[in-house]
Amino acid sequence: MDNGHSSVGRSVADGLRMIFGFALGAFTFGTVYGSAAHVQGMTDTETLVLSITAFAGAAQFAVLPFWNDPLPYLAIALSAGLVSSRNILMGLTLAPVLRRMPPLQRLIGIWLLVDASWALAMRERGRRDVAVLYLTCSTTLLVTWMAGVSVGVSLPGALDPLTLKALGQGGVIFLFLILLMVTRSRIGPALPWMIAAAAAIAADRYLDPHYSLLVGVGAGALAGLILPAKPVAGDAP
Amino acid sequence: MTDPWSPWIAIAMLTVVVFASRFLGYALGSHVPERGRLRRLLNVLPGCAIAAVVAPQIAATGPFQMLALALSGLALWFTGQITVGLVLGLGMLIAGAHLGL
Repeated sequence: MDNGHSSVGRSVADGLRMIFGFALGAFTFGTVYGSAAHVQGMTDTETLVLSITAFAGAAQFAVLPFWNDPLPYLAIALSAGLVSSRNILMGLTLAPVLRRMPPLQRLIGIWLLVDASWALAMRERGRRDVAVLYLTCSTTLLVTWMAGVSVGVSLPGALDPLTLKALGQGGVIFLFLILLMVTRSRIGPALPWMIAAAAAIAADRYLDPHYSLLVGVGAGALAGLILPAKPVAGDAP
Repeated sequence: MTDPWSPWIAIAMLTVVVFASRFLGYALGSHVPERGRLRRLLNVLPGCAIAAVVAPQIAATGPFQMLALALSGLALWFTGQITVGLVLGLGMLIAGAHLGL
């Protein structure tokens, strides 16, 4: 018999299936982060508390080099703010999905917003159960990220330095694959993203690298405004 | 740390900054209609941000890392499975690091 519970169960199962690959990445990068934080001198408790409260791998990696005595609060805040600025854009696009949730779930949904769960929610935004899918994916990512960080702080020497360095570089592959998955799913027009990428490379090379994000997003937005809009999967006319 | 509270102040600050960035996006996005030109434009922006973060880093990598990236991308594109792409890419990076590539 089909009822609300089995329907939610199916959505949760779908979410778990969809997020599996990303969860694998979250576990891997969590392990790398835990090991790196241990080497940097963060206590295990600090690493675990920061990882669960911020739940922001990129921002956490970005501020790790600043974790020295005395802690430069301003540099930490600025660095985290810069890396987290794309959360604003993801929150902007995900607001319709988040608004469908009851207040407590919405708050959890906002707290757990990361690139991978954003990409999956955008890909599935035409589904009625997208809120359940999103929360399932986000929670799974949090659990696997924390499991990875726990392994990293518990066994900091388990991975040799070469492997750690290679996995650290894997963050780029992770983000690249998220973007590619979004492109493959026709969630949005790919041309503005390519223009953003080209503009960011040019800014990184010819201007101050700190401007690459701003220039890239600006160029992509301009392209999105100028180029004729064409319907994409999940978009209403 | 000489001041035992300073890591906790930094952790609290970082948590607030990250959460604020997420909440700000939600709060602003709640005032934008779900359909229309502005919504379509906003939907393009996160991809632009990810592309703008990733592209300069890709451009700065070596040829072997670029190959790992390309093959992992192709694996995802043709299988539709991010697991396949990620495992292939990370596996290549680890192998490359140990082989000195």
